[in-house]
Amino acid sequence: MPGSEHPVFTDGLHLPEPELEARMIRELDAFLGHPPRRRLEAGALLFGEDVELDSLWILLDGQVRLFRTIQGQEVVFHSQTVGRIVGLLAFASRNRSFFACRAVTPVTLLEIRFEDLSRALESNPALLGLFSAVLLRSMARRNRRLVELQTEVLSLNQTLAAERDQLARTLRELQQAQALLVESEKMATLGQIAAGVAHELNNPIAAIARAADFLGQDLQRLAGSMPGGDVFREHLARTLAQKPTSTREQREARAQLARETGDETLASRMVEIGLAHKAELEEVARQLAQRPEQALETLAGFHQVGAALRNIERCARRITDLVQSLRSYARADEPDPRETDLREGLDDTLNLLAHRLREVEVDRQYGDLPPVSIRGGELNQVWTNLIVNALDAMKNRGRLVVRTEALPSGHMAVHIIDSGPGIPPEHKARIFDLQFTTRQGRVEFGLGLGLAISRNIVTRLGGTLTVESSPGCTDFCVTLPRTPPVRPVPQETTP
Amino acid sequence: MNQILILCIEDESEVRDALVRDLAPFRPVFRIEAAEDAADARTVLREAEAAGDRVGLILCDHLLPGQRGVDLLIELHREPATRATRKVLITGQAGLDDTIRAINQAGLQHYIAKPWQPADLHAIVRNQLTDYVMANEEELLPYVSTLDGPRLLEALAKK
Repeated sequence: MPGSEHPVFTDGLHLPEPELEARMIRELDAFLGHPPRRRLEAGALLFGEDVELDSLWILLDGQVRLFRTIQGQEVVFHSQTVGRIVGLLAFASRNRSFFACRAVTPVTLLEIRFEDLSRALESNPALLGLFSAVLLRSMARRNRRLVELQTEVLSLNQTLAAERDQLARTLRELQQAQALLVESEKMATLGQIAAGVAHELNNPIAAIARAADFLGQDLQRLAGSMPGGDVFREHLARTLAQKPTSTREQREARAQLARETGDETLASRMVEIGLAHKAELEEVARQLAQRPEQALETLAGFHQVGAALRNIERCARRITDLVQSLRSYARADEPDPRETDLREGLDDTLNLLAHRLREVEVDRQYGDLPPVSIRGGELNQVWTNLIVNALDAMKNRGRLVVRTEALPSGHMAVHIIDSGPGIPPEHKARIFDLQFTTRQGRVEFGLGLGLAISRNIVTRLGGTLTVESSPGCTDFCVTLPRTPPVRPVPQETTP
Repeated sequence: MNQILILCIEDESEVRDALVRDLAPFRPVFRIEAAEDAADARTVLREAEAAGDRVGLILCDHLLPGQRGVDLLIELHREPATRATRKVLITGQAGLDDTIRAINQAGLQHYIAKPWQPADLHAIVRNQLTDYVMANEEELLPYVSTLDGPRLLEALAKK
């Protein structure tokens, strides 16, 4: 009769849990005739997962846990939330266990075969109510636990994702730091080699310059001891001091002389040795008491020697200047900071880049600067990067402004301004990134590691590196304090 | 008398002086002209054409102010007056790309790296000019003593 079964359920659910369970156990125990208890040691397995069961157990004392083995690991689903009845799911689903069950502490169990349970529940409506209530509470508790588990999984996933992102970020930073290290190591090696080579070049170039000078003096003396010596000495002196003339001027002079003398070969020979008028040759011939053709040949010999010596001297001076710039640029032998005029480093850098500046109008707008205390050559890498970038952008043609100024704040500013096409807006935000290069990607306007390294150096010295760019005017600006911070400013990783 | 020209294009006066002097052995027969950039070279070529002279050989530096050496040689190769002219690049700084362009588009016959050895320079110039006169001149005899005599005599014998 429905009326008599319904209240049994609600009765049981209204009881406090310990009492409900105690009453259920009492009823069951009585029905089964107080069977012997089963005891398990801590750690013993009561049943495995997914095995056939024909009993369930009432947990009288101690604690068990329910788990499943996932990828070789025992994953616990319930320990506090097991409840009194063990083997519930097997009972509910055709005798197969879902979880495995292991004793956590020594446990005491009351074992009930399914068929005995069925009989007991059929014959005792009160027991049915009690058992149903215990079952329902147990299932509710386990269900809540599952929701909690789900929540835990979710938050674990979030933590994992955050850690994964952090790891990826750390890896990227490590790669960047490594790239910087490799680059600075490479630069240091190159600097040492450059300084070494420059040093080694000093001796031979000094010897060459001196030897050319000695040869000039000896030749003067020798010429002086010859008949007509004054003519030769004078001509030699003139040749040695002669400024280079353009090929255009030489051709014009030759045409002029050819008209004057009516002899192209003679005109050509005269211009080669620096005689502009027929009268000059006639005067030389008179002084030497030779025919003009003869005098021309004699003079040509001296002229050739003189011109060769002049060229040696001029080229030796160029090499000396280059070596000087290279030495002060590299300054590998200066470990300690010293008071430095920033403009010297800029000039050294421009000298060494002269081969790329032939078609560039270089405008040095040097304002007064107080000296700044830095390690020699430290900033030259920055100047080189910025100027090379500017030249790349301009394809070695255009106008390069190098401006220095003392700012009211006491900082100093160096601007490197090019007349190139400007940095495309979509690249602007990324040009200081380490990975960003448009060179490999075949984009014309390339930057590479240089800007990231430059910014690093400037930041370490307590300064800033910024850029403003529009078509026809890209302005990289470095600011530096008078004295760099005692402790290095931490390196920037994101611009 | 109409002459064959050797044109040296080099912007640095010291290097130009050295190059011109190293060409002295060719002087008795060939006229040697120097130009310091592409525009200047154009002037020399115009004057030579006006005077009825031929340009047998151009020795050209690559890094010139204004137009690059390779680009000048490519242009000259397309013009009838200088199509047959032998073209030699003499430089320390032409990259691979430029050199390939010079070979493919300017009919570049030789590449001389700076610093040059005079003996190499003489051999290359002698060889190039011999090729030029054999291909373009009626009279070979005037060149026998200055250029590759045996080759010229052999060519003469076959005529």
